Amino acid sequence: MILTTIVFLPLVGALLLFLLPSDKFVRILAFIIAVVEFVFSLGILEKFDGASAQLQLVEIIPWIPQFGINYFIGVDGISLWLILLTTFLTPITILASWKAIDKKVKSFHFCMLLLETAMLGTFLAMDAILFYSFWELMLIPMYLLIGVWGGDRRIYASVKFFIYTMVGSVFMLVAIIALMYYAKAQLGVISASFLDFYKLKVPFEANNYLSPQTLMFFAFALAFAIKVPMFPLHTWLPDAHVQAPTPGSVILAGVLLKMGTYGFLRLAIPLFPEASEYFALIFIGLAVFGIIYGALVAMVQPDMKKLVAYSSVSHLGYVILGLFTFNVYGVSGGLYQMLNHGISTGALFLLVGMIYERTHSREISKYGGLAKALPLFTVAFFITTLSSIAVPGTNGFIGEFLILLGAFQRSKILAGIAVTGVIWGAVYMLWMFKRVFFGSAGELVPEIADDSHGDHSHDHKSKGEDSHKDHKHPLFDLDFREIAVMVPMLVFVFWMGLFPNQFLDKSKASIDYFVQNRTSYHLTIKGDVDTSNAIAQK
Amino acid sequence: MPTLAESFFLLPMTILAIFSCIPITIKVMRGNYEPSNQQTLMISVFGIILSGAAVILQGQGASQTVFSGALIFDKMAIYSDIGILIISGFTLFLSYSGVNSKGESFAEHVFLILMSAVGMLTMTSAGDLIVSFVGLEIMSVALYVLIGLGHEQQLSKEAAFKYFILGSFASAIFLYGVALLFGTTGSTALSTIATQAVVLSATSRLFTLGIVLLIAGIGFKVSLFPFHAWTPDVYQGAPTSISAFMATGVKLVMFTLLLRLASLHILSGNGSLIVVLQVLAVLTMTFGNITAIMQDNIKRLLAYSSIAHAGYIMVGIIVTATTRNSDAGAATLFYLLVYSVMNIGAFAVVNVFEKAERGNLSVSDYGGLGFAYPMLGVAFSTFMLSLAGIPPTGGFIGKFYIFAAAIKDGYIALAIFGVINSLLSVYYYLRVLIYLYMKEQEYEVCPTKGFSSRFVIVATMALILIMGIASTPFYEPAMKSVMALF
Repeated sequence: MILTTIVFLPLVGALLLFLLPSDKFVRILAFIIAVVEFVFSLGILEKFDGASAQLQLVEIIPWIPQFGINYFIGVDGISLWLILLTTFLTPITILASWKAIDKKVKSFHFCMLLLETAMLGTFLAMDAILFYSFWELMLIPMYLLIGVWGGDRRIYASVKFFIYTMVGSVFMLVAIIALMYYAKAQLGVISASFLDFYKLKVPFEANNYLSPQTLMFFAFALAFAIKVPMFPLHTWLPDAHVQAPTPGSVILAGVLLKMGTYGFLRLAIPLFPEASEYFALIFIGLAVFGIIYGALVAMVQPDMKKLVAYSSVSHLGYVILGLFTFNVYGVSGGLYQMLNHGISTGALFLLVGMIYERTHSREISKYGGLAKALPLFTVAFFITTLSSIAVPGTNGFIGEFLILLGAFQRSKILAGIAVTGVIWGAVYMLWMFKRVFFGSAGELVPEIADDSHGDHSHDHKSKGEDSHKDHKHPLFDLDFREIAVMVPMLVFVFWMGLFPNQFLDKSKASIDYFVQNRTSYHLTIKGDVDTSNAIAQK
Repeated sequence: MPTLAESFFLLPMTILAIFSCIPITIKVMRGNYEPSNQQTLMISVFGIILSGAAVILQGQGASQTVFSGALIFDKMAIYSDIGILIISGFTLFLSYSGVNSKGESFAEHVFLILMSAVGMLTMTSAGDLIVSFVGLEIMSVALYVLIGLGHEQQLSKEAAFKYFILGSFASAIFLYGVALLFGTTGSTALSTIATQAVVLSATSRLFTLGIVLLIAGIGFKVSLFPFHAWTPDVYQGAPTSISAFMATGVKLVMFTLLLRLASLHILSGNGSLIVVLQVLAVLTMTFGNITAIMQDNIKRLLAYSSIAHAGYIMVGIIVTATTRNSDAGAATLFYLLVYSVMNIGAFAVVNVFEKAERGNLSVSDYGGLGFAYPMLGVAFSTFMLSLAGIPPTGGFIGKFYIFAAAIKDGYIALAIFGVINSLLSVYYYLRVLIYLYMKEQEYEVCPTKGFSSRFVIVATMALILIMGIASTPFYEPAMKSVMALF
């Protein structure tokens, strides 16, 4: 029952919020629920057997029996860390929103917790219709998060986000239904279980773009590629990120984008091995293009948040590149990079959000010389930057290194181009870092009396001095709450960077199995099943 | 010869007819003075419950054909009857709140609504086209008056007149179709027509013409493209409770009739007719959705959305008509139920907000109401998301069943048009959510107080969520009732 508890605990908590009178209690309760949820999810880690590639902690309850649809959830090495990432990021974002969200607090936390249920459900669902239900359910709270608590163009951004995702998912629904009838034809029973889907042989013809497998592969791939987002379907992402409130951006970047890559790994590739093999180069090509494109566009952004948003396009390009190499390095690197991106981009959005709370501006040109004014903030930002540009010793390095290793085995030319992405990544991140933290103080940054730079900014100094002494400048260093938000993220930057095997070991069996049996991927269930009457019927 | 035992089957209609007359009789006896609207409501709801009990009692036994085949009481009729009674009950509650807030009398409404329901009950069981026609007329005549009952609004009069004129045309066309079928088959009994349908579709053009006219008549009532033009005007002008009644009850019975024709393979003899129907289904949903995007008036928006939904339901009908696929029939019945419940819910919310302010609310008038009235906001959002077909609502499961049935029998193109249309529809349903939650309140709109509309809203919302999460108890009976047809 542990998985069901984990999926629905946030939902129950979300409903409890409505009983509370004041915003303060709402925040505290929501935070407590999210922390309890995280502790519970550690229980999965405890029970999970990393040596097995099988599906574990499975629960099956018949849902719509006449269509073979079950409430079927389980965890394996592929979804394990994504679940922990979700439960890890949620309390952090709730803590980070303590001051930033000051209107409609109750509804906000309701949306956050509902979103957590939907995300966990999507990762855990092993039944296509259940998966689809959670997948769509996820849209509603995210839509509201962007649309209600977002920036000036929030309505445009939220509708764009919703419609884009729907475009992909409706075709996926058609393909899911078609697969269900393939299951009926080939297995004798109609079923929506992923495990049954894996057994199907969907007809494929190499040069026929209308062969069933190709069509279905693209129906799934479209849904996932929009969610990732892959170039050229990424245009909703900068809008959504820039308009979303900080917690929304963190969850969007940290977890929601992983839905797409997870979908490729869980469904699109193993379900349609021939088609994914046949079209792999297209995906690798688009991924590599996305890496470079995202980095170049990020470079010219005047807005910090938009810069981070485009960096996501670039980073997720690596993930797709890794997954479509179909070798152990690439796939495990891709999986690892999903987690890294959740940590490092999540942290970047948190930091940008913190500075935005203080000055209500994200424009890079208005900053400068922050390093002196906000030392703690600078350290945190610097570590996150290092992680984002994949410096050895940080988590980002492990992921990108593995992916590139895998990519070289696959295609030397494309891998060679992808490697330059690492350089471009360093360029835009470090350049932003330089412009924001070093140099002379920008218009939003207070002057700090300092001998070595005294000459530089003499004019400003005399102007700003009076106001500076009279009342506190809006820019102040991280307070205790913000330190509490950032420390766990930074710990993981190094933990995952220095001891990758502690994480990869748990997924190794699943990834090995995935790579070796990609063309005949048959996931099985480990041990006994909770209430196993549905499987017993088959 | 009709026996006394056969009359027993008329019990649901009889009870309803008797109860429809009680309030108005009391009123007349007391010199045009009505005791209280609340009592009237209680009497009428009691009538519906009794009638429902009679229906369920009939449902226990096997299918029965009575009065020499004129009436069929099979599982499908029972399923639709229960739907109709629920819809009528909700409509009464909505009407009550509308009438009560204006201090008008309620007895006439009760009489007309229940009479209309009697007509609907007759239609679902009709085993003979003439009986269908009688039911259709009972239902429609009561509706003509009901639409015009909002008697302080000019729009209401216009709507009533429009619906009356066009409805009469449609009835005439329907009747003409029946006449042609009678001319070619020598009978108006569905069972007789069904036995000759396959042969005659191939040989007799008159027969096909009769079918076409029949479909046109039905298409008018369910607002199928190109017979839909009256829908937005009438839904906008009619009192909101009656719009809800027409959008749900009328469609439910007319589609049940169509489903009966489809299951008897009366429609499918002529291949090109099926092609035409497919085109009409796609046009209906596409037209409804695209036009709905441009609407600002919430009732017109719901009207166009109901046109679009008629298109989705047609997909189910077409698949049933051409294949012996009980999945499709069951999906159609289930979708009709879900569709009715969510639409009544949506109209109920409109009803609550409408009475407080000027007559018709545009979508922009809902600005900020989601946070000002959280429960109503959540309910309205649920109905919109359900209409858009987003899980975990009943609307999603309903669409899933329909499209699954279509894909099963190779109507992949229809299913793809269907999902593309759901996509189009998301845009305008989301617009309502945008106003509810993301815009500021423009001016004070306060919902009417009162229990009855809120009861409908809570009940329909609960039903929609239950149908979304645990659909089996609603789908199984639909499946059984359709299986019995084949």
